[in-house]
Amino acid sequence: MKRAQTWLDGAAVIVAILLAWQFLSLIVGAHVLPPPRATAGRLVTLVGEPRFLADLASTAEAYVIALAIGMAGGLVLGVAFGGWRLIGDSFEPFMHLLVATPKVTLYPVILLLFGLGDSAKIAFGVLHALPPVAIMTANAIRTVRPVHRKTALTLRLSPTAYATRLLVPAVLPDILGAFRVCFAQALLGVLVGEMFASTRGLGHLLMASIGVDDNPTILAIVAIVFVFAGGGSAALLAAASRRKS
Amino acid sequence: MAASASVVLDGVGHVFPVAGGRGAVRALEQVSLTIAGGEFFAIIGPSGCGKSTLLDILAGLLAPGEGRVTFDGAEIRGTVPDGIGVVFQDDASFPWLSVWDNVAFGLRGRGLDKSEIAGRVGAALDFMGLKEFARHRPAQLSGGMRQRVCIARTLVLRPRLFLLDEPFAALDQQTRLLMGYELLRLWRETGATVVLVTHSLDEAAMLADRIGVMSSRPGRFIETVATEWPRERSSQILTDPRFGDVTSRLWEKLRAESLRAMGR
Amino acid sequence: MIRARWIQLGTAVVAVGALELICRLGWVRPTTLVPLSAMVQAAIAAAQDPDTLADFGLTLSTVAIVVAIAAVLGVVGGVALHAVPRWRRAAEPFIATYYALPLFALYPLLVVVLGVGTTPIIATGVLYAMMSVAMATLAGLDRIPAVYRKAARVNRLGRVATVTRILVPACAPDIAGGIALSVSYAFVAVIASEFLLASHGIGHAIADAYETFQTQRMYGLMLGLGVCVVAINLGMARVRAHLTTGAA
Ligand SMILES: Nc1ncnc2c1ncn2[C@@H]1O[C@H](COP(=O)(O)OP(=O)(O)OP(=O)(O)O)[C@@H](O)[C@H]1O
Ligand SMILES: [Mg+2]
Repeated sequence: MKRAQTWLDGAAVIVAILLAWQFLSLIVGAHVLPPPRATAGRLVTLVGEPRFLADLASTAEAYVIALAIGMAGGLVLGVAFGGWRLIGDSFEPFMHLLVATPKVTLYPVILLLFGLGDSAKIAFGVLHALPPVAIMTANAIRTVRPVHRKTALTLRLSPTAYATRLLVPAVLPDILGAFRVCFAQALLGVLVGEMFASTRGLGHLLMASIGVDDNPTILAIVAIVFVFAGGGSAALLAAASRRKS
Repeated sequence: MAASASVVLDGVGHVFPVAGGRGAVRALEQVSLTIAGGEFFAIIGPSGCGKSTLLDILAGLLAPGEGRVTFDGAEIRGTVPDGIGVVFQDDASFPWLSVWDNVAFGLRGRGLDKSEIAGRVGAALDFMGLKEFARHRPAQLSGGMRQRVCIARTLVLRPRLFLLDEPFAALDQQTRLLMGYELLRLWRETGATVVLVTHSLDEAAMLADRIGVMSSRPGRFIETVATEWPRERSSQILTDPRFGDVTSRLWEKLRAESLRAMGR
Repeated sequence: MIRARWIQLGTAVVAVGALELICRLGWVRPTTLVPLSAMVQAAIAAAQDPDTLADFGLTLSTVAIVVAIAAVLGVVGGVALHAVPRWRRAAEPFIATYYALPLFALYPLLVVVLGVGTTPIIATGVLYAMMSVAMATLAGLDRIPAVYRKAARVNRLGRVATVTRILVPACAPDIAGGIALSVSYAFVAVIASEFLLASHGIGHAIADAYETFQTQRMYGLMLGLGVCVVAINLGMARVRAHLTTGAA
């Protein structure tokens, strides 16, 4: 009953967004802002184009690599920061600094260091994705309650059992949360990277469409990205809350 | 029950360094005590006198700075020996595991077969009155039930020595009384040695064979009071005139120390 | 803590020294990387150039406008969502995924709708920055003890007075935290938009220096911007510390 209502309310929000979009499109003109239907139509034709599929594949590849590096690297650094006080105190502030800087400005540096091409956009994705994972993991490990640590000691767990049966399950929800952030940030980084300098990928296609004022394509790409990012994030969120209850 | 010594403390002392600065806090000084096998021993003392520190040392969670501790003849020095179960003051149930898995936690990875684990966990849940809640998560239980989960978790290990650090502190008075009886029942049926730290004079007087009264910091035992209750005791003790004698004796000793602990 | 400070300092010194060394030894081309001393020189040169200062001013004022609008919209939105639990439940999944969306992919559309200039940049920035304030406001309102609301009723405050005189002040530290975050988001959005498509602002100046191979100037501008952002963050941390202790 309550569940059904939540679903209904969620659907109502989506309908409201679509209606607002339609309305805005009416005001500014369909050639400026194509309405939802036209965008959906463009989306269908776009998916039939081999060029688009190649771009999609290129983005997907870079994204998966950036996600993997960001997550693994962030976890390793996070465990080091959270597990060893001195390492955390010494090096974590640098991570915080990296999170706070607008990373776009670092883009030229990445380009100069990695050159044009796939490694630059992957590096940019990692730059976005890794620091939050490291910081979130470190914080999670630091908040494992002392009484849980003590309990593990009195139950005489081995160090590996301590790590796998106590630390990991204790911080698992936080790691899932970190993965959610990583999921979004890596996508953002790769896309922005493609927008600036790549010759392939959705970001590049977006930029090319901006260049020729191809608004239906712009909107279609934005819609794809939003649905993917939003859907993925919502699914991860649902998985996390299922774990909790 | 075996009257041989279970726990022997000999001149135990401990000093905590103060983080960041110079100076130190002396928590314990010259604590000597012998607890017999199968005895129910309660510890009371003013806040901050070192009770938890003493229990950590007994559990092997902390190596004493001075003196020696032995458990069944073997020295305990900063590593947890086999045969000891600890229940902490804070809720230590693991929120990510079901009640059943919480209780089975310490049994896994010890080479016990499945049916043995299931049998012990089932018996412990039964004993603690948690049978219907085996599949629940700790978040779905009350504070008292969660503390019972923690007791059950140590119970399945069949320890010969139970250490309890104010396990009922977070509970209301009624639940506390009931938990006290459950603890008595557990003690009777397992034959284990119990060391219970408590803030409540009544609780100590009602449950224990002997009560050690600690001084304000640095903590040491200024008095031990024997209650001489029979092993089969019940709430009738509360109406026994000797119960009043015991509590007033405890309060007499504790009053001065508590005032001192508060800096008066 | 003291040891950690020394390690930090040491790391920074070693990094700067290594940078200086590999650049001076000619191991990397000066079009790729320049030493810190050169960055500082370029930053000083940029600080004396009125055009660059104007770009800086434009960016900072845009960020300020964005934060101001985002703060108002965020607080109002947060209070409104909190007041109607049903809206909130419906909006919750969208709020939770909000920062997963690459919002400035919308920037080109905003340009189309709002025209060129600072307006689409401000709009992008507000889109980005607003939600962190709204989320912080919601979190703060959730934490307010029930007794505060009772106090409001006992004192016979009206709805508006309850919000402005009790609820918002009570969660001021949370809101301040949200606004501090929104400054970071505003910087990211404004500079990214400038970098991408604008013809003014420090983001554009950096992109321009990059495209015209003025590597040293580019690093100088980045250094200047970095110092600016860090200074603003430190300043805000001060204000927030004051707020929290004041409220406690
Ligand atoms: N890890 C520690 N580092 C430094 N000092 C400590 C530490 N643990 C305890 N102390 C100090 O040792 C003294 C005794 O602490 P302890 O926790 O043993 O007291 P307690 O008798 O259990 O108090 P309470 O009844 O309030 O639980 C206290 O003064 C405390 O400040
Ligand atoms: Mg204590």
